[in-house]
Amino acid sequence: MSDWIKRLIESKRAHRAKLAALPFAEKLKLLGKLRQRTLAIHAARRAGPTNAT
Amino acid sequence: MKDTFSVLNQMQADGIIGRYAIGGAVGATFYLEPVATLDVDVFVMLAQSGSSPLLTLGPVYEYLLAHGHKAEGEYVIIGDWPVQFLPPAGPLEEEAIAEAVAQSVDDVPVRVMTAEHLIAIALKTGRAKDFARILQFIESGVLVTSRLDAILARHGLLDKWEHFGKRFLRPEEP
Repeated sequence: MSDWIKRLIESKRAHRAKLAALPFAEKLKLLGKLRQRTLAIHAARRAGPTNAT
Repeated sequence: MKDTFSVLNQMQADGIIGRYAIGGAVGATFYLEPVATLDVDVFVMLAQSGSSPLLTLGPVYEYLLAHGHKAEGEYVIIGDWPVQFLPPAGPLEEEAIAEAVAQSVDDVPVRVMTAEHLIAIALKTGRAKDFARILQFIESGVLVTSRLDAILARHGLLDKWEHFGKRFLRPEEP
């Protein structure tokens, strides 16, 4: 594994640990935002491809 | 989510449900970083209805609909969240409810399963996303190994755990 990949993985791990350490109430607010994004992605998938020209 | 927890507490106070515990991805979020989920899994001990020995979710849905909440398939929308009520499938879930930890969200009390029970239930359920969650727990370092071992042994899950370890926890390559 290259040093660059190792640093990337470590950086992601540190970010996840930082998120995990947030108060439960804060994390639940993030869950709400994630849910909205997931629903938006699902809706976009259902709508099919768009012609963005 | 706070509104959802308030309704659960009121349901318990009104005798519609017994003890409850938040499980699934929302329960795991207490211990881990948040991971996208679309619903809230609430494991509930149900009050017995009349003289019938059968425990059903009927009174739960009747109560919630009477209080203005909407049913969508197997979910009831409480606050902004679809909530799925899950009666215990066996002794493991019963124990998880009984030993859930009291927490608070903006002064609203809520009971959340222990990390070790969440893992045991995920292992028992055995979908890809359950295995991913178990790996998250292992990496997070929040587990009390002796407690997890005891739960797995008590509920006959040691073979599954060993299989999980062989499949996903091979030593990292140098």
